[in-house]
Amino acid sequence: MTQPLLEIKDICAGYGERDVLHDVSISVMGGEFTAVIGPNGHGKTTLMRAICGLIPARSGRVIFDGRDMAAMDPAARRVAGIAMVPQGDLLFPDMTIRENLLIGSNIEKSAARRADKIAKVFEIFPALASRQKQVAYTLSGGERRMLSIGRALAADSKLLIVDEPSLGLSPRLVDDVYAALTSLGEIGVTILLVEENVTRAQDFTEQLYLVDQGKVAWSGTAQDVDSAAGILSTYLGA
Amino acid sequence: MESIIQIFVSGLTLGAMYAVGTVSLSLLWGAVNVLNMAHGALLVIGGYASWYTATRLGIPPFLGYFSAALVSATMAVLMYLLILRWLKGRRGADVLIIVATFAIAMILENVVLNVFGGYAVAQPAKLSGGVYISSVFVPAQNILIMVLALVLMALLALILQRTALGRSIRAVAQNSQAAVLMGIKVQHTYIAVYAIAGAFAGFSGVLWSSISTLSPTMGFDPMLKAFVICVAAGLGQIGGALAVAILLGLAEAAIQYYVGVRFALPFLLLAVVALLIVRPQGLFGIHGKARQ
Amino acid sequence: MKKESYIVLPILAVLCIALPLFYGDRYVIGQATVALIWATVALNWNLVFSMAGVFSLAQLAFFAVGGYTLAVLNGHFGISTWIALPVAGLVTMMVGMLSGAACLRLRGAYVALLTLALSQALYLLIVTDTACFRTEGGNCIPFTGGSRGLSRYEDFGFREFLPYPVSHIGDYGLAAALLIVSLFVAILVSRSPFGLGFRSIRDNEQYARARGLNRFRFQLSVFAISAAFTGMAGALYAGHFRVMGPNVLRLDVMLFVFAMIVVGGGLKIWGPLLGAAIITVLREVSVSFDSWQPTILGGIMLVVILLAPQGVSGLLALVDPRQRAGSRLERRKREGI
Repeated sequence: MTQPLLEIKDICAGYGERDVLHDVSISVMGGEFTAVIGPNGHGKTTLMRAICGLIPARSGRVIFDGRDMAAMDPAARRVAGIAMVPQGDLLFPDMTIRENLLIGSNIEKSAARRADKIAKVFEIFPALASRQKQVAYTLSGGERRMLSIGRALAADSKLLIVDEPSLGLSPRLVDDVYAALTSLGEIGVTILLVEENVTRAQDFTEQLYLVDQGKVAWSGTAQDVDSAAGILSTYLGA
Repeated sequence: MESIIQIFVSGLTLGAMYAVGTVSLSLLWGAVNVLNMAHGALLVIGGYASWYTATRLGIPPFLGYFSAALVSATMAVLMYLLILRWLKGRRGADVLIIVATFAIAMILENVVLNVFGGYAVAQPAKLSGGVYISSVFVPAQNILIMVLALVLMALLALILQRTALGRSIRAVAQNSQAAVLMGIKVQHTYIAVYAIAGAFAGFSGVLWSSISTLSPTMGFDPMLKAFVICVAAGLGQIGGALAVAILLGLAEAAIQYYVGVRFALPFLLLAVVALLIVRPQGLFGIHGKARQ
Repeated sequence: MKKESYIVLPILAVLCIALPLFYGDRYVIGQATVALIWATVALNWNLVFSMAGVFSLAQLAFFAVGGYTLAVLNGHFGISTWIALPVAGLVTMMVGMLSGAACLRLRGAYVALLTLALSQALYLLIVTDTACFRTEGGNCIPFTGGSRGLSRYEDFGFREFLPYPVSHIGDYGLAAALLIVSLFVAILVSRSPFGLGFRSIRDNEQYARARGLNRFRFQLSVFAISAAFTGMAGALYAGHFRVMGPNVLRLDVMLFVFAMIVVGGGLKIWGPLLGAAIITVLREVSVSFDSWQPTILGGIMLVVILLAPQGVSGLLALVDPRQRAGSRLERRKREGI
């Protein structure tokens, strides 16, 4: 058994007085796709924010690539290799596609490395390549999602966190986004995914965690999902 | 014809000076969401830094522009590190910041008053002589102000649009959370913004005092004008602020010429109030994006 | 605002009556009169912040309008100061409603900038006013008195019907009465359905609309009330000193009154009053450092903002366990996000 790339141990975190996460533990193996599923408002995004360091963990540990992340701020975690595609994309609206990607690659030290990384992003998303000077807020929903993923990939990263890639997109566009994510898997990117749709998550990932009311209510492999349909449907109403 | 030239010369000079000062205010508002009531005090500090290095330290007067930029930038960064940094994210932070910068302004101006005295002095960093356009005398200092303003604006545009630092500043301004997630060091970016804003304020202080005089309270009038320009253009709209600055300078020169000096500010204010009632977000502000 | 806010009224009244009984000294009463006037301004200024939610810097312009109204009515037109006092309140109320209507259309920072600029424009217009309105004894007197101000007018005439040793009590009593009435009105405003609902308006405008609370009308009335009392305080100031000049529009005066709100704390309705007392005492104590007073005042404000953002009244409120729980929650929330 190899060491997991990301290991969350008994994490408690939340906003104000209220803890949203209670003793959540998950692990992500390098090279695999892992999904966190569960109903809305039960802590999935909070968990991702805690991993990135946007909110502090009240207790528990985040171990990434063998290092404890506790003392690191979000910027340092990015340098350590955690790349985030946040919910709602959070692009820089008044910047061009190229500038968004340049910001994405800003932790790369040399201009040559940055250019190289951005060229790779354009290989994955050719649609972005032809419109480098277009300003982000004029993009369509699907294009924004692609740019947000591309921006996260524009610097060396070991783990890509994608928070709800299907949010607000039409089913056809969601297919496109998942196709892109699958192709990332083929080049060896590790992905931690937040998804509400179990079937999508099952098709796409090896390992699944169900987070409900701030706790891990169930976990298993994609094959286990069908046998656990009873449990899952009580939580997800599917 | 002569009166037209006269108005253009003084109007463009005013506009150029307004532009340099306004950039400082506009940058702080747009990038770090700070309404800097100590803007006038930074101008004063800059003006005196230039005066001090030239008359007391014997450094060539024209290096005064650099000492002013340096001292005011340092002061602005200190202001952030010592005080404003701790107010971010607090409840009612925007009002606390206005009050705090207001208090800082009072302290700085009072210190200048006590150290250098209340009497107006002349700014040594100043050209003499001039040229005639038709029969209108154009002081060399006015020409220098216009040229310097142009150079500074070009420099700022270059920094903001073409450098990694500029991109970081814009990224933090547009979405600071996303910027953090991309690994941008927000604290460093903030310090850079304060330093740039401070340097522009200091520079502007030398420009202002070079065509009037240097006194501990000289910063207030330029600050007020800068506020008016920022508000009219839409807070944080640097490009728009430049256009309004030039426009305002010309309008002010025309009003001074035809109506009288004392009515310039009230007239402009009335115009701005009327504008804001029609367009509450200012001329170039984007509706709904106007910050609270 | 709970029921206990009314308790502040008798406490203030007792303090106001007790002072001349125990410290009848002419100087003390004189300073106390001025402190009461500034306390009225601070109280009403804070009302605009907390009840209209508008960060207006025009309060001292209202003060000046009130003061000049009295000085002009009595000095130029010979109207009794006792009539001029309420008229000053009315005039300022109208000015307040006008500027309120303009301010309420704008967002936070715009209001601050614009009101500051407007009051400065007023200052400049007064200072540069040199056109003779009338001449007296060969002296040209502009309508506003120009940079030297207006001085040839009457006070409230207490000297004529109060005997010598207590004649100075007259202005003091008037200032105390104005503050007490103003405080009463401020409490009424904050305890009105609108005032109580205002918290909810700030948090959720749609909810407040659904409850039928008209935010604009309420905010406008707050502006009107606040301006009226501030204008009368200005008129009292003018009548007390028998000179009204543009100096009250200077920035350091604004900072001085503002410090009262910051140091006292604006969350409690009595915070600015406490602040006025503290700042007045501080000023008396530091009188030997006269030329450094702005630095001292500014420094105190910075310390208070950094360490006790709700002012001294906010610190006192921490003694109340219910409030403490509330503020702890807020602190945690801050740290969390």
